[in-house]
Amino acid sequence: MKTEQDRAWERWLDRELKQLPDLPAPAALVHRVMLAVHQRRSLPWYRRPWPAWPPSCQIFALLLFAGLAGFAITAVINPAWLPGWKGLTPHLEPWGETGRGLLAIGTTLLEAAVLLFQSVARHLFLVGLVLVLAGYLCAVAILSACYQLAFQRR
Amino acid sequence: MTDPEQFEAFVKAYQNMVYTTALRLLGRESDAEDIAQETFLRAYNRFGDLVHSASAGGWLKTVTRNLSLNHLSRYRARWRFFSEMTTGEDGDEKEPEWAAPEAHDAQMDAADRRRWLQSALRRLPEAQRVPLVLFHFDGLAYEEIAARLGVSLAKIKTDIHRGREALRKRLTHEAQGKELGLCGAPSFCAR
Repeated sequence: MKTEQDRAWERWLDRELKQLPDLPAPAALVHRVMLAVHQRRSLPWYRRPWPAWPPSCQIFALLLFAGLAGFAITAVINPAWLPGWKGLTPHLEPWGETGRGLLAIGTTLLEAAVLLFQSVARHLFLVGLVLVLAGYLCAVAILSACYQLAFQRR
Repeated sequence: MTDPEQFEAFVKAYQNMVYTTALRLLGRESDAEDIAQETFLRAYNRFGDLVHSASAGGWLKTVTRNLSLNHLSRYRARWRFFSEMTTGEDGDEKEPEWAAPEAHDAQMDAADRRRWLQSALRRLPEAQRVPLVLFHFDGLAYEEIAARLGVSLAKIKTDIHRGREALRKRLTHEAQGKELGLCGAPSFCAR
């Protein structure tokens, strides 16, 4: 049970604490921060955190990942579409040897993927995907429960 | 691209506030410097938004507080362990009877009193200092502090009470030795 004396002390303490001035930061702090900033600025853009990427790179990366995700989803839903991508070949001709090399690598990888999709029934693949996701969620739930038990609130 | 000179001026303008916020929560100068640096690096990433914003100070304070609490939570198990070990140190022992020192000029002693208060606050155990700072400096409610620190409401109330009592004892004790004129505070020297 708080006495009036306790309450008066709390009020006094609250007032005094709020009036405490800021402490002076160490003189080296500014130098330290600017040095870290300089080091960060000297990093190539792709090694910086995402928000610090140049806007053009952010947009390009977003489009690239969206394209890859769309491609992966399409490949899972309709693998029969995949062989049709070879129609791109004429467009890559102007790239010369590099374009043809990349095309050869891409062809090999995609044909392997197509074979995988065709040999494993599509629905089986989707079921596997769902099972993997469910397993991941179960693992997260079990680990969270263990964490709660280990660090139970007192 | 952020202008380095402009950003340096920004750091100089806010460094004391950021450093003090971190130091009050963490209690260690080296940790407070690390957190202050990380806070300013985050500010650098969005300096374009912050530089002309009236809420830059509030943003910096919130980020500093969150980073400091995250830093502490990495050692939560250890923190709780020591919290339990020290619970009887300051709060459970019988209140000593302090003799009232002579009254002094309150104006003259205000600076000394604040210096002692800063020092006593930093010497509090972490389990008492952190909720006390969140309550008095950041204005968080008991429930918010409990949720943020992941401990029970009862523990927060107990820790804050013990922290206040520890401050009262320590400051009164200092006042006895240094004659700081702390009797200007209500009930400060009554016990």
